[in-house]
Amino acid sequence: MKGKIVSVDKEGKTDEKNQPLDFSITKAVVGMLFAAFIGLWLFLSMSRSYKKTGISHPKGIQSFLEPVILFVRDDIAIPNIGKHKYEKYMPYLLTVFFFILINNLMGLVPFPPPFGANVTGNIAVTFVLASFTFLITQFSGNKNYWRHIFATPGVPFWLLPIMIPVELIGIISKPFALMIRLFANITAGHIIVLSLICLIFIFESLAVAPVSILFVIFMDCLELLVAFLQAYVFTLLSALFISLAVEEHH
Amino acid sequence: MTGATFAAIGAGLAVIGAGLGIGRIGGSAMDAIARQPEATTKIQTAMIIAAALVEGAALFAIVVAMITK
Repeated sequence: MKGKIVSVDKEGKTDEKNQPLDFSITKAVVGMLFAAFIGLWLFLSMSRSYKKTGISHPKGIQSFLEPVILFVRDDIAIPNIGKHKYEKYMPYLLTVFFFILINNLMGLVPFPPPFGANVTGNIAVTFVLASFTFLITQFSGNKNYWRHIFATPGVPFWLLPIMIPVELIGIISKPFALMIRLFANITAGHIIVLSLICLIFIFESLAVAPVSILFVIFMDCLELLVAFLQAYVFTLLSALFISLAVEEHH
Repeated sequence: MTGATFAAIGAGLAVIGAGLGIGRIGGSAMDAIARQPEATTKIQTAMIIAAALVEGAALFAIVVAMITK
C-alpha cells in the first residue's frame, strides 16, 4: 500500500496479517508537541522571572499570564470545587485550559509548517482530554459520590433498578459530551473557513476573492472567540464534574 | 434523495434548534440585565456558559450528520 510502513519477509512479500503497528509521528503530533513546547517556554520563563523579582511586582510575560491563571483559580476552581480542596486539581485545570487554548489558536494559523496542524479538531485528541477528566473524577470520588450513583437519596427502592443504569450512563455521557463539544466546535469553524476560501476556486474567478476574504476574516474573529470560549467551557465543566465527585454531605 | 441530502436536512434542523435555544437565552439575559444593570457581568457569564452548552447539543447532530454522510 502506498505511504504505509509494511514489513516484508526475505523474498520481499508482505504478510497481510502480521503488519507492525505504525506509530510514526503525524502532523497532529508535531503540532501538539509544538504547542506543548510553547506552553513550557511561556510558563518556565514566567516562573523564572518570578524567582528573580519575587511575587510582588509583575512585569513582562507574567503580567499577561497571571490574570488568566488567577481567573482559572478564582472563577473556575474555587466556586466549584471549594476553598479547601481546589489546590489538588489546579495543575490539571490549568494544563487543560492552556493546552486547549494554545492548540485552538494554533489551528487557526495555516502557515508556516508547525502551525498548520489541526490538533483539537481531531476527535482522538479530545477523546483523550475527556478521558483524563473522566479518570480524575472517578479516582477522586468519595463515598458521597458513589452513594449518589448507586443509592440516590430520596429515591424509593423500587425505582433503583431504573436509576442505577441511568446514573451509570450519566457518568459516561458527561465526558463524552465534553469530547464532542470541543471537537465539533473547532472542526465546524475550520470547515466554514475552508468552504469560504474554496468558493474562490468553485467560481473560478478572482472577483469573488475580496468578498470571500472579508467573510473569512469575520469568521476568523468568531473562531478566536470560540477558541477562548471552548477552552473556558471545557475547564469549567471539568471543574464541575470534579466538584460533584468530591462534594461533602450537606 | 440520497443519504447526503438527509444528512444536510438533519444538520439544518439542528441549527434551527440551536438558534431558537440561544435566542431565548439571549432574550432572557437582556431582560435580566435591563432589570438589574449592576449584575451584568454575572448574567453575561451565565449566558455564555448556557449558550455553549446548547450549542454543544446542536453540534452532536452536526457530528452525526458528518458521520452518516
